[in-house]
Amino acid sequence: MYRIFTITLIFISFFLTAQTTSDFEGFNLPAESFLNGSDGNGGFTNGNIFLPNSYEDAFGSWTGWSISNTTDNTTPGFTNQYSAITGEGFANSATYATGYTAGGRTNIALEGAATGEKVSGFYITNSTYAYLSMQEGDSFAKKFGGVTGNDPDYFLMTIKKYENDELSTDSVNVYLADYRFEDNTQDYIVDEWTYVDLTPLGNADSLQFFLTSTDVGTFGMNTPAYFCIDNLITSDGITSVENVEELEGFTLSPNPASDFINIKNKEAGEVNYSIFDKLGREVESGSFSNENRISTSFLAKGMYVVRIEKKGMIQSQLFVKQ
Amino acid sequence: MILFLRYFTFLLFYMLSFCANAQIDTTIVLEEIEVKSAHIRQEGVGSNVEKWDVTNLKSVGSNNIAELLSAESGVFIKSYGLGSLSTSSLRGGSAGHTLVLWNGLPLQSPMLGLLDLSLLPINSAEEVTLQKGGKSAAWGSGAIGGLISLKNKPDFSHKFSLNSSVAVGSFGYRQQQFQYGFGSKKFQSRTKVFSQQAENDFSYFIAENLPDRKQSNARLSQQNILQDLYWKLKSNQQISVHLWQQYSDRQIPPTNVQNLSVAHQDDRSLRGIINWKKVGERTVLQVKGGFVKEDLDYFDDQQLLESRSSFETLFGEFTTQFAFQNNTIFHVGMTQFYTKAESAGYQNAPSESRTALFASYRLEGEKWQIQTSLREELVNSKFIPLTSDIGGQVQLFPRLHIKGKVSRNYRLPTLNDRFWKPGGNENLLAESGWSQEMTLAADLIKSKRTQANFSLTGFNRTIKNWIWWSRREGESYWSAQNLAEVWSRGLETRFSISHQINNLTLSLKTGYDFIQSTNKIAIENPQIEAGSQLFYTPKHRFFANGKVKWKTFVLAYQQQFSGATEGVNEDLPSYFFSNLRLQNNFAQNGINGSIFLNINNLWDTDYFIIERRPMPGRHFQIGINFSFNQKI
Repeated sequence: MYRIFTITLIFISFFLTAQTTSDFEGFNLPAESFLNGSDGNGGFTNGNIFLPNSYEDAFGSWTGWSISNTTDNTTPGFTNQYSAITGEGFANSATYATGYTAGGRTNIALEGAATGEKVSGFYITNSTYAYLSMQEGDSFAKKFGGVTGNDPDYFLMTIKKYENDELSTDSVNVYLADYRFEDNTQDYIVDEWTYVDLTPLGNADSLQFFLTSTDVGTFGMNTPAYFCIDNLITSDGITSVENVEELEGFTLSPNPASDFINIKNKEAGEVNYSIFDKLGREVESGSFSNENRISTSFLAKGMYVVRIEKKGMIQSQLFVKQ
Repeated sequence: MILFLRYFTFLLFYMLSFCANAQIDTTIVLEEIEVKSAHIRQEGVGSNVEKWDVTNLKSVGSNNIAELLSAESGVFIKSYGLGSLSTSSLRGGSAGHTLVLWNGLPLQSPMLGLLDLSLLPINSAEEVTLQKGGKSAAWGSGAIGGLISLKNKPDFSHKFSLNSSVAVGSFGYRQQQFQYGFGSKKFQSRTKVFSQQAENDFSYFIAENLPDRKQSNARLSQQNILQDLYWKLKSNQQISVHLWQQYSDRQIPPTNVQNLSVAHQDDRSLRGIINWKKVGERTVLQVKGGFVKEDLDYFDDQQLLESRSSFETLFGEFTTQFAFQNNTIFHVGMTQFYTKAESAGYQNAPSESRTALFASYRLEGEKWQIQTSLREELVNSKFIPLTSDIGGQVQLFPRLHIKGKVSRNYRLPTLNDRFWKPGGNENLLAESGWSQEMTLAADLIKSKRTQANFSLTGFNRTIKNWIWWSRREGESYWSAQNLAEVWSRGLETRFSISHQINNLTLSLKTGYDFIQSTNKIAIENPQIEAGSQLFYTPKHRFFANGKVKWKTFVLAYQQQFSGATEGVNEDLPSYFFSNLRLQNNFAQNGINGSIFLNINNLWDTDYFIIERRPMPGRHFQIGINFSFNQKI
């Protein structure tokens, strides 16, 4: 985790604070603890996001977000409502955020430089409470698949955005559990941190998280309306390709790329290059003098950054893998 | 199963050995010797009353009051499964709309507002009465759909009595009962010990090509000790004391879409009542004191849940009745309740004090009766609106009666509704409203050998401020609100006939209920549409009980039909359900007894009363009962 965080910082530094990762580690929670809004602050700020929390003092109940580092991924039920099924944060980190969408939805507001900008994405997994409820059933909610195992159940996270006070019709959907397969062996409940690419949503002021389940009755959704997130990456001003200046003294083509990119050095000299993914993780590196054809066929679709170093000068440019 | 077969063989041989010289059971409880109170409050003028005495109760084949009401009276019982929570819906009301009294003491939990009728063993009372319709003016909170009354009664003719029974059945069912009584013409004591255990590990159908699933974590263990004491101080004065201790340990089985449950619930209750009454030539005076102490503990070791709650209620009542002339009776009384409850769900231990003043007035002629009642109740220094009713009945023709009643009824919010954290709402109003009913009753045949009667009842009831737990916009928790208005109306028909030919008695009791109980106001969360039928409330319900009695043998067949209902998660289809009972009575050397075989769910119907809560298929119970009485 430390390495990733460091790389992210480097990445941010040469991108003029291009991206901020909210990884929730800065809350410095004691082991096996959580913040559930009982301080009355109405939410949590981390990086360039604000996670709202509504805490009912009289009853000790909350909705919205909690920050947690509890590791219990075996105890079912409400008493273990803060834990992620992974038993830890993304990439072995300690802390993550747990969302509870009582009444249907919860949201994250983008703040500071991230306001009105694109959100790259985030990692999501099931809460232990929802995961075990879907896997085993409980006194309120059904085990997914039903009595025969054939029910086409699902637990769906839908993310929309608000931009200029308008809720988007476009959405990004993530199945936290999907039992709709003909072949039941393909049915799954998400139990790992899974990356959600939010770039299709475009620029946003806030993100809206909706949970729906096939196990729904008169009293609403029976599946516990909990989920966990980590490492949400906001972009602070430069995420669109057209906003990034092209490399001076080089050409990068094609962009968008599919199987390769070609980098041409207009003036001779040794060049070191690195390619980073959205999280600032180096996925490829090397060096060349005049021209280099770099294979990108192994890269997942998405946005990448190529960093060029020549004679101590660092430049970078975004490219898109289709 | 081997044990069951062994029991079965033993009982079968036992039964056969008695057949040769069997006699018809001649046990008759001599009630007339008891100092009778004859309170007009207890006798509903204008509404229907069904009564089961000790002899009936022994022969119905039901184990508890829930089964009795369902099989014998067609009452819809909302049961979560064999041995699990069972509550009644009378005339389309909720579980909290049936008041349950034990010797005049309300048994409902003030925290939940309901009583699990499966926890009331059939032999806990010598008389069970079901009165349908609104009774709040006489009995107060909760008596909206009707009233179930359990009474213990003395038999001053016995010097000594013993009664013992054992029964075994499918799914590890065991039941033992021992009753010992002694006394004189002035004093009677009766001690009852009753226990039952069951694994309830029945198998239930999943789907074609899939093996049945066996129910797990469904064990029930229940013990009861009841002590009744009666002193006749003078020929017109009597004191009775009743004590009832009950232990019930139940596992909570998983739903059919839950792999495992390790939850269990322990109920402990101690109830006591002391009653003094004096019957004068024109007056009846009665003073009662009682208490209920109950603990309800719920555990789920898997979810690390431990929820303990308890309450204590003290009860005092004074009533007096005057008969002015031969045709006028005036009854007045006062009741005081004090309840204190404790639970982790409450911020502080809440208490509730309720004081009620009530009066009834009856005027009667040779062929008619009119009765009106009034009640004013003070709950924690706040007045509940005045409650009243008026009922009457007239004999139109020698064999045709018409009766009717108009009543205002209410149900107070429970302690959970008011104080639970989160969501309790201290400002809740009582649910209340008016109900009307009318019955036409005809004795169709009334001869020595044959009796047949028919009745048709229509009722109409509106309850306002019906309490729902609802989640309001922007709130993270559910809270109790006076949200709904429910309109219940329906028709109830009953027909019964019995015919005797020498040693053979044939009887049939049948009934059909049509009940529409609909929400008048749409609610957003929970999502309830205006005009929709209440959950788990069948519109159609039918029952027929046929009985053939030949010499000492009794063959009884019970058929029930429940119409489709709407559940909170899915709709539930209609179902037929049947029971068969074979009984042989015997008498030898002064010992009376009977041996019985019950086949429940005779046709092995797959059915659900509540979705996800499977019910058992065909299952058996076999038992034997002995009694010995020595008269004074």
